[in-house]
Amino acid sequence: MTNTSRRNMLKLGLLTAGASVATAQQVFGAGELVGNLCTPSDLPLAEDDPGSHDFNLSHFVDPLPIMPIAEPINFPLDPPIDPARHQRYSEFLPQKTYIQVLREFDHQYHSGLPFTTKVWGFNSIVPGETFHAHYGEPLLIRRYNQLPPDHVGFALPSFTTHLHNLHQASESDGMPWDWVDNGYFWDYHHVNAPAGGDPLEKQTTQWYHDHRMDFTATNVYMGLTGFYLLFDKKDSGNENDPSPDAFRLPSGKYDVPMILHDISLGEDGQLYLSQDTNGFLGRYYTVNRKITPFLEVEPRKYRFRFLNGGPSRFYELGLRSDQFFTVIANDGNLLPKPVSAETIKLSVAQRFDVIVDFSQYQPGASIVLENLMEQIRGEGPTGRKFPKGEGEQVMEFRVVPLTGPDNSRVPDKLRALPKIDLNKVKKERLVKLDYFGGIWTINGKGFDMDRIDMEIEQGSAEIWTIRNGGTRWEHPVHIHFEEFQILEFNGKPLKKSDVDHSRKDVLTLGPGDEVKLFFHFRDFLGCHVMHCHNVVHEDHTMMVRWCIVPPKHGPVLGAIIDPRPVMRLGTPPAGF
Amino acid sequence: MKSRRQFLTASAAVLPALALSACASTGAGKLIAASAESQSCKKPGGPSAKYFPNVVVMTHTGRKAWFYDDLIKGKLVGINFMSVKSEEQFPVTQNLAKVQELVGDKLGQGTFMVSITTDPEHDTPAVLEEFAKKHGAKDGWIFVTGKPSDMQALYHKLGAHGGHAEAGGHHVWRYGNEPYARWAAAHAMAKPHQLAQRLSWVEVNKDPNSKKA
Repeated sequence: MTNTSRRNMLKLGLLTAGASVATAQQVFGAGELVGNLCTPSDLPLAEDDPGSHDFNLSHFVDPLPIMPIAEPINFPLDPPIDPARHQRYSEFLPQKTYIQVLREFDHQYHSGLPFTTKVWGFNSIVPGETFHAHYGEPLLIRRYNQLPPDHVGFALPSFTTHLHNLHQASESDGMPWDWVDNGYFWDYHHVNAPAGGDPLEKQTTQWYHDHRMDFTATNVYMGLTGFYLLFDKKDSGNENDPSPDAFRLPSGKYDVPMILHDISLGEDGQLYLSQDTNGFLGRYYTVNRKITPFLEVEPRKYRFRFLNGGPSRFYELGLRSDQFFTVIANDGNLLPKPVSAETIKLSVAQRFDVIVDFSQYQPGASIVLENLMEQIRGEGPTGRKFPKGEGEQVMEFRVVPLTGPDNSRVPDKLRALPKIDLNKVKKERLVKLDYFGGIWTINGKGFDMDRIDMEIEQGSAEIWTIRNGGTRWEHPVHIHFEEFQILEFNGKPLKKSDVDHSRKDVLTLGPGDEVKLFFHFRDFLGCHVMHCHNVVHEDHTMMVRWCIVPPKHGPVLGAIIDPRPVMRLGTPPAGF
Repeated sequence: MKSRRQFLTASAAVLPALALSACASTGAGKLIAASAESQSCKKPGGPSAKYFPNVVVMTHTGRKAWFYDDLIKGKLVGINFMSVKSEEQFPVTQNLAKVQELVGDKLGQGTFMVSITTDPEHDTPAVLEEFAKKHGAKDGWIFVTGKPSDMQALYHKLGAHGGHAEAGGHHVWRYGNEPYARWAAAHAMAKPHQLAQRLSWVEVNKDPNSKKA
């Protein structure tokens, strides 16, 4: 694939509001190969994996599950939180406290299956409860490990929960090395304050997922994911908000978080995962952990928060109708302006918040959501795209009668981007993604939890050039803690109308791609990671550890970066 | 260093299943001459059977073994790829020798290290025995060779990127606990204590109080 064609592909899916819309055929030509990711034909296809059983399940049988909103506890924690283990705790005293217990339980992936499947979840829910957090309202989540220590299967009953892309200190960021074993707990302190105190750095759709070193793919696949949504006075979560500042985006039951995972089941009905280090493709699409479900929608506007939960599949989502998406947020960040798109391309871990207006449909109509991206192996898409209407079916929307007025709006302007101040740049770095000796590498090395790959001065800005040195695979790169803006993609700046002209935490690099990113590191000291979010690649060492250090600290990092998290012994209180 | 006789005795003791029974499997059946033998054998199987080709291999002590049934099944194990000729370029065996020291008494007592050659034509059992000796391999660290096609099957399944043989597999160190079907991989050149620690991750420990918090 040439760099140009890849950029075209991105543009195809995302046309600016008001622009005329081209179909896939017009842009690509039928059957045109836009990628070179096809691997030798003698390699097995994901669908031929003998471990993955075909149960001949029908589509659109089960309703889409909606995760409940997490409820805070109303009693004190026992033992109490240890403030010494958390940076800036006294500045951001938790106003709400939550408990989540990680357990194994049975789950019905599809009502046509003759059995239930063992999964892992939070408070016996998979995906876990959705958090509704508010800026200015710090919170604390205590998570207990009650997973079965003698679990038989690919996952490891040891967790560390990363709140993906949230701006939080290392000890609450769910670092791969900060795991919590059975019988222990850890407290996660989320300050719910924008980076640098800048309101333009506010976020909206984030998610939490397991990040256990070497076992992220396996543990996430077992079910350890959930949503964490942030609100403020503008994105207030109330479409009837009388405040003139409020965006009044669709809210309540019209605001639907949806996490996409693809899974395979063995003959015994249990989750099956291969050991292929390229990545894993499941036989079945699930949304909120139901296989190809349906959602009843009213003829009005909806806010859908799409998240690709992995492990390795890429999506280009489109509707089998003339309906467009109005994209309002990329990677959990409201865009400067809504962008109209025929399709949206989601790499692993990426999020898009979109508005879909069903008001043109009569009750009884149904619209299928499909994946137009062809992918036959875990390493990345082939580069080919299914024609509209012939993609793989993900879920169905069924229109039912309207129950009330639609007072929601889509403002012309959402959240401006924070200024890129190149004067603050103290360092430029080159990061090369590749493989060697059967192991995925970053700058030629595999992950080492004891090694510090980059030291970054607190308060400074940096420019990172990330290059995919591979010839065959795509890498959705994710950087923790601070978001980036794209300065250049393959040598060219993005147009302002590009949906990636936004703050981001995941960016996919195809073969030979190179990006230049701007970061500003603020607020906390400590170590975080950057890794490939094809979680199978991540587990096979495609990760680096970088640390924010005080300016001009000298070569004494070990003394400065205090290894705060040490799991604490304890069992959940009664009722959990 | 043990005497050769002691070494062989000890190896036999830790590998009781190596008296190759005629257990046929899909991958290895062709190596067994008599089909009657195949019919009489136990079915291969176990929590992790689907992940491992059950091919016949030769150990550095000159014994035949089923790769999965005899070397993996029921064990906590670290697996790597090596060759005598490539050790200079990929000094993985040197690194694993340090891991062996850290594993200590557990080696051979439920915990095993299996090193698979990628150069079976050169790395005969005798060559591997010499190589194992040179690196101070103790009981419970088994070097294996075999038919090139079988070694390739192991390599493609466990060492290379989904069959991309050109990617090379000398830096892959797979580890896991077979009865619990827990498997992961790390960099074979990671620090020895990090690799040894990983073996403890996949151990089953039901008593949280036994851990240091």
